[in-house]
Amino acid sequence: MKHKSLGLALAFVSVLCLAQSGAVSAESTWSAIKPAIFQERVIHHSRELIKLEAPYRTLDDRIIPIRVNTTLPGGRSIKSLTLIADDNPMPVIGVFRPASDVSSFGIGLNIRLDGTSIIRAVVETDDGSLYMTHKLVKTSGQGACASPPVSDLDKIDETIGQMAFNDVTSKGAATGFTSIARRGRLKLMHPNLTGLQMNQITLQHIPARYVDKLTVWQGKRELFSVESGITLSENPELEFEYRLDGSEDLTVEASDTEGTKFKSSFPLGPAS
Amino acid sequence: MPVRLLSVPLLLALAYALLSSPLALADVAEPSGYKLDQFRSQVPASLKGATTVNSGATWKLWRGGETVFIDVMPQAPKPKNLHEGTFWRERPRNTIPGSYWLANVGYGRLHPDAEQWFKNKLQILTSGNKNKPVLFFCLMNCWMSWNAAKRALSYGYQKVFWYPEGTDGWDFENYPLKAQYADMYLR
Repeated sequence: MKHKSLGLALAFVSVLCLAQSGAVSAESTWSAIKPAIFQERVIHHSRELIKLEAPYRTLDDRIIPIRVNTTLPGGRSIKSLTLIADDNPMPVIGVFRPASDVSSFGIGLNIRLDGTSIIRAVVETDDGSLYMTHKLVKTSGQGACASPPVSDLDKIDETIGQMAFNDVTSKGAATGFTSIARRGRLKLMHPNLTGLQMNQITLQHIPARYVDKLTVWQGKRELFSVESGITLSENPELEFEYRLDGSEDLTVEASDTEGTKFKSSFPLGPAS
Repeated sequence: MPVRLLSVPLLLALAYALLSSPLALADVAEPSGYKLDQFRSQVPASLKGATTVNSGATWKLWRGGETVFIDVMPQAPKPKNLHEGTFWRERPRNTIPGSYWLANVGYGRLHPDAEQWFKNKLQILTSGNKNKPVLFFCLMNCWMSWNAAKRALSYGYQKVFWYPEGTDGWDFENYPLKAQYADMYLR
């Protein structure tokens, strides 16, 4: 079954350290990191194909909502969507890969930022072309990368990997048609330790431990996967859209850098 | 009616006077110990035992060439347990040319090994001469430079300068900046 349009919206939380004024200029940052991510490939700028929403100035550097939507004309499909925070020490926020040929893809996620940074969304199409848009996000200076975890790390094992899933489809859209797009919100309990946070007792850095892969299945069909880094927030949240197709459940598989695997399934409503 | 006395221009003038006056912000007292948190907040006007300098005075010290400039802007070290191939980028920072960027020595408390590292660096940069002038800075309203300068005083350095405006004030004056990479204690 070929889905011409699958909208995905992810809400993640992520980011990094002290707000850096006097930082080296944005353009020089991109020219410094671009070869490591895309080598010498040509990237076309397009605000038309990719819509990126992000706050101009953040309220909380640890939880910055961003949203990306892309729709390709002419039957082309999306191979991947790469999100980048230029000035984070681990610049690649995540690489999202729709599992089927879709011409439309959207994610919404919460990230954390080390300091004021340009956020980029780069779409790779099925013919290998790259399109990009970007937006400047000014931080409020808390330095989220190094800010202490909110969770009690001694009790992490009790909750790590637990997930919750909610259908957050707005009422206007839920009209009962078989293929109506639904919006789901996933929450995953995980400290997503950046490796930059200090243990206030030992004064040593807490080792990094973060979710590095997450895959969402609808029934037996994979919807999408994402490879992620420390930019995902503590206890990340992810919003995505899907279409009811008769599958009885939605399954999420995740793993972290310790090799720990997490899996949960959630019942879905009937297709009609 | 008395209310009429508070005309709009008068209110605007009052608001302007309040906002533009330095008295609008309460003075911050020097803590007895190190500042342990809220590093990006208003700093005191002074550091006991050190000479507090503004941008103009700092410029003169810089031109004089005798003073060791130390940037203490924090930067997190690369985590040791990242996956192989993870793209990690040490970020340069535009700082005062000729300065030494010793990251993370301005926190409220240091691990004993990190503190020893800082002492060693100071000793090298001053050629073991505690009378060599040393100047500490980071950003405007950043306590890290205050803490680091206070530490240097505790180590016995005799001519400690504190430049609270940091690279923000330096840049505001259009003085030159240069991209540099951090030196830091790595366990």
